[in-house]
This record gives sequence, C-alpha cells and structure tokens, in this order.
Amino acid sequence: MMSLLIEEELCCDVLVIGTEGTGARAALEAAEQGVDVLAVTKGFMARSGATLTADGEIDVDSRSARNLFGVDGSPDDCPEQFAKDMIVEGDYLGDQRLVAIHTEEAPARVKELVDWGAQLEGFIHAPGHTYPRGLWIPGLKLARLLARRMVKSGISVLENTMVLELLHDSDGVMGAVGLHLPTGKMLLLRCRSLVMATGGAMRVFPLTTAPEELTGDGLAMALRCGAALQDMEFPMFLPYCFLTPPSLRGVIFSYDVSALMEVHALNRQGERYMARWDPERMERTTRDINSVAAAMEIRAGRCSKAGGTYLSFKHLPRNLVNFSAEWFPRNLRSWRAAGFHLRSFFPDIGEEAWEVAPACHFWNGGIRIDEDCATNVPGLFAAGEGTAGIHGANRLAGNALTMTQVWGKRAGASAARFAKDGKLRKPPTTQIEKVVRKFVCLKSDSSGPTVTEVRLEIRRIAGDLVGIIREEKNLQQALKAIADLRRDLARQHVVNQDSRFNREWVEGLQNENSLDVLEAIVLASIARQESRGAMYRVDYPATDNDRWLCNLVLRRKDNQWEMQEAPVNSLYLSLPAGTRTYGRRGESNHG
Amino acid sequence: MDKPKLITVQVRRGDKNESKLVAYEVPVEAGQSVLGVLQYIYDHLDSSIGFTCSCRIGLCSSCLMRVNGKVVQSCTTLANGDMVIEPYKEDALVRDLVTELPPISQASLNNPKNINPFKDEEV
Repeated sequence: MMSLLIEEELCCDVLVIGTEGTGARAALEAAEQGVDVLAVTKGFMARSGATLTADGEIDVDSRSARNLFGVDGSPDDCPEQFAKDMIVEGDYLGDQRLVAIHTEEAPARVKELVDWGAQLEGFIHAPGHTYPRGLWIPGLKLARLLARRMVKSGISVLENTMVLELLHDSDGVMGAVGLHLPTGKMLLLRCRSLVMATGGAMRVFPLTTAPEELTGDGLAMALRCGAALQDMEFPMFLPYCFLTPPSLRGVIFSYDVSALMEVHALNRQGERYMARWDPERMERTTRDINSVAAAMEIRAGRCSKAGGTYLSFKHLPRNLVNFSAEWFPRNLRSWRAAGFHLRSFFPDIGEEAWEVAPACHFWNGGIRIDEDCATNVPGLFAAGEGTAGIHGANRLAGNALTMTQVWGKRAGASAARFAKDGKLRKPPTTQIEKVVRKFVCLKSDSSGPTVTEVRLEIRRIAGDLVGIIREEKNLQQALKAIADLRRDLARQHVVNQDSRFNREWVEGLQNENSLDVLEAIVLASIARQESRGAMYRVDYPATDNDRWLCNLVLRRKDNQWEMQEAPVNSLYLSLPAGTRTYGRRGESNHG
Repeated sequence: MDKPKLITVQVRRGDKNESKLVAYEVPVEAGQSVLGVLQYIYDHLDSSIGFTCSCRIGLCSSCLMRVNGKVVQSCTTLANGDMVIEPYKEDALVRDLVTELPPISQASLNNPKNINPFKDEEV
C-alpha cells in the first residue's frame, strides 16, 4: 500500500495554499467567518513569495485615496475611471464584471490595511493611469503585517511544505497531498474547500524578476484536477532588467531607473533603436513595446556582449546623475536597491551603459474564476496572481498588490461559505496512491536526464522558442520539445536521497508543473494569430479586434488539451473594432 | 565580462551531529554572488548540497549564511575569492546550509523599521 507512506493527516475547513499577500488575506477572511483554516507555504512565511519583493504601490482610485487617506489625489477620478483604464490597458481582454468589483472594493481593502497598522509612505502617478493612484506600502512590510495578523488570529501555518497534488472527485476538492520539506514526510491535508494562492509561473522563463517559488505549481495542480486556465498567452515582461553582472541578473532596479530618468536604449551599433518603434515617445513608450523592441534587436543579432541591449545615461550631466541619489524614491535612494549597492558594481554611475534585457515579471492569465473566485471545480477557489480576468492582456503598475487584497478576501469568504455547507470527505485511496507513486518514482527511477537538465531545458524552450517574440515555426518546435521532455519527466535522475530539504525532489516536482504551464502558453500562443498586450507574434504583428477579442480557455482531460474561445465580458465598456498597429491602445497610453 | 576565475569554496556539509568542510572549485565571473556560487555547485558539481533562497535581492533573508565567519544574505554578497560558507546558526541547523528559521519573532514583526528580522539576534 503506497498510501501507507503518508505519515501524517491534517484536517481543516479551509485549506489555503500560499501565505503571502493573497493567501494571507484569504486565510484571515476565512478565519473571520469562523471556520478552521490551515495555510500552507512552500517557503517561509513573510520570507518568500512575490509580495515581499513588490516595490510597494497599491492602487486605488485617486478620489478615494484623497478622501480616505488625505493624499493629493484628484477628485475627478472614480472607481469607474480606474476600471476603464484597466480595461483599455489590458487591451480589452479583462472580464469587465471582475474589473468593476476590483476598483470598487480596492479602497475598503487598503483602508483595512491602514487600520491594521500599515503606513502609507507615498502616493505616485504611475504610467497608464489617468490619475495618480499608487499608495506606497513596501511589499516586505505588507507581508509582515499580514503574517503578524495571521499569527494573532491563531491561523495554523505550515511552512516549507510543497503541495504536490489536489485530491478530488466529481463532487469537488477533498484535500491535497503535501511534502514537508524539512523531514521529507508526506502529508495528507484534508479540507472542505481550498483556496489556491500560489502566484504566477515566471520562473519558467530563463530571465525573471520573480522569486524562486514561482514555478506555476498552483496553475498546474488546478489544471490537473480539472480547472480551466485562461489568457495563458500573456506572461508580462518588464524591459531593461539587469542581465549582468551575474548577481544582478533579472534584478528590476535598472528598469526602475529607466522610469525615473531619460535613458537611452542602444543596440550594439549604438543606435537608439526605439526610433524605429515609437519615434515620438522613444524609451518612454509602454513597457510591452519596449520589451518587444529589445527582443527584436536581440533576435536580429544586434545584441550587447552578454546578449541583451544597452541602457545608457551617459548623455546626462554628471551632477544631474549624482543628484538623483537624493531624490530617487526610497527603493533606490543613494543607488541602494534592496540589498544591493549599485555603486559596488558601477563605481562611476552613468559612465558605463548597463547590459539589460526584458525579464518575465508577472502572470496576467491563470486559473479561470468568477466573481466569487470560484473555479469550475466545486470547492476549489483561486485568487491573486495566477488567476485570469482582472488584468486582461496587460497589467497596470501598482495593481498587483490591490489584486492580492481584493481577491484574497473574496476567495476567503467564498471558501468559508462553501466549507460551512460542505462535508469533510475521505479522499479516494487510489488518488493518494497515484500521487505517492509519482513521488516514489521520482526518487527511484534514474534512467533519464537529471532534474537540473530538465529544468534548464524547460527554460531553454521558454526563452529560445517561446519568449517575447513568438512565431508559429518556433512554437511548433517548442511543442515538439515539450513532448520529448514529457517522456523524460517520469525518468528524471535524482542523485541525492537525503530527505531533509532535498532540492532535487522539489525541482523534480516543480518541473512537471512548469512543463504543464509552458505547454499551455505555447498552445494559446499558437491559437492567437495576432499581437495584443503582453503577446507579440512576429508573423501576425497587428492587433485584430474583429477576430481576437476573446479569451482562450484551456482544459486538460485524460492528458488531452481542449481549447475554447470565450467571449469577453463587456458589461460596461464597448469593445473596439477593426485592426490596428500593435501597441497603439489609444489616448491612455502612458508616456 | 572577463574570463571567469577559479576559486576554492569550502562548504560546511552535514548536520548538528556531524559536519565537515567540503571543497569545490568554482569558476566565477566578476559580480557573481555567493548564492550564485552555490547554485553553480548544485547545478554542475554536487546536487546533494542543501541551501534555501527566495527573492535573490536581499529582502527575504531566507538565504542567510555565514561567509568567512560573517553572517550575510548570500544573494547580495559577492564571491570575490576563496571562501568558507557555513550555516548561519548551528543550533537551528537542519542540513548543510539549511537552518530552521525560527518563526518571525513578535518583536521584529512589530517593529516596521526592522528590515531584517534576524538583525538583532544573529551577530
């Protein structure tokens, strides 16, 4: 009996997977509703995940910011205008019903944070927003605040536990199997309802701003238990992230600088290539166009020494550059960025150009949800990054933290409601055995490539064949490479058999999740024969509103993918018609 | 980037009961971090090595370790030459460089100025 390998069984009403911005908010809400909550995280609570890495903007409409917090917001803004900006900037693929809820509930959610002790450290006007909306709460402080509240509320938190698979039948979710990383023990986690709050899958790509954990586990597990994924063709890339030196690889601060000063993006010939993409706004065009342009330079072989492009501010006077150290926002003050001292790499800031490239930064698509965060699987709820419909094809700056609070609370409330009516059911032994067998197989079958080789191959496919600039030929090649890799997945070679924090086990299990997610991206990208938002097809460079204003929805049944085109929910704002040049979304484009 | 130089990295491997320094030769480019060195060892030399990390930008402190005797976040510490890497706290050691991070203390959570929750307790 394989299921005998389960060493411990934990029961709760609501199981929350993920303990940071979204997961914590969901757990707090569920606990508030009087149900018993267990929150599980792969890392350490408030010391892992994407929330703590957020610079710190959390968006609410300008008028509410002014009325609630006394900041210098515009009385002309309103939740409806905020929603309109989101829909337009999301290139009309957002679910307008969800967007309206998002902007309407945002003020109350931020007010709660302030009531709980969060300090607002600033208020900014980020590109893409018609009015200033970005209240400043550094992600690290937000993560700690929520963690403190979870501890106070008596919510059980299980750290360093990777969930391997959800357990379910046709009546819905019954729990999950987890791996306790410090001991290597298998855990059976039983619940009446479950909230998936595991974030995006940015680590699928070779260059990313995201932390270690974001390998798409939640998306893949939800998919494997029958949930639908949507808008998977829109991973968001941030231009001008560091490519070198190695310790700064994928670090976001060079992008932040590019948003604060007049920078020049150069190819190896010293040409300001943005002139060919947006001669008026040049480097101040939108992030997606900046990313696509850089990727096209790299693709054409006009790349920097390390394979990126150059970001230069040598044209700026020295005293101007030096002065920036004094007025840059807190996250870059004195050219200190998080734990890095940029002057230790570039003693003479401004003298040398930085080598930069677009890095995967956010997941616009993900699990398909309704306004209650319900998926199509009974008892399975999802929220935050890695759910679809809020941001459409592209996200506004500062809106990721808002998403954690609005949708975390909604998911917690819905899961609690479901749990109150639901039963704690016994998961079928056959399913538990299947998960255990997968794990035992990973540990024992050693005939294939190493887990590191598989991980690097996934990233190679994602970087070389999918990436930012997509085309049919490469995407088909990617599909083939993914199929080959799938055969190796069951035979991954693991060297280490120490059960305590076994990195190979974790990566071996993550590889399956990343591969499922990557295949979803490829299938959706092949289907969408146009360019829109965060996705650019070099063979279909125009935005085609007549054909492609729809959401692509993916499911997998018996190892076969099914794709559907779902109409965009356009309750409030009518959808545009006709075909246009990629990137020109209209007057709300940011400068 | 200049040619990588070869450095000798000694990593304390083992647990509370028994541990020893194991030496690895690692090529490093200028600007490589200690965490990058460990990732290289894991990827190319010895995949049994145990370490934890998350944000890679010096915020989360899940990659705290002792490098040449000093407790640092390994992601923002540069690998400039030969080095000895040890767990940051022997008594909370699980395996190799992995230490059971204690629950974030109420004190550090209540003090928003305290960016690193271990700042007060470690050195």
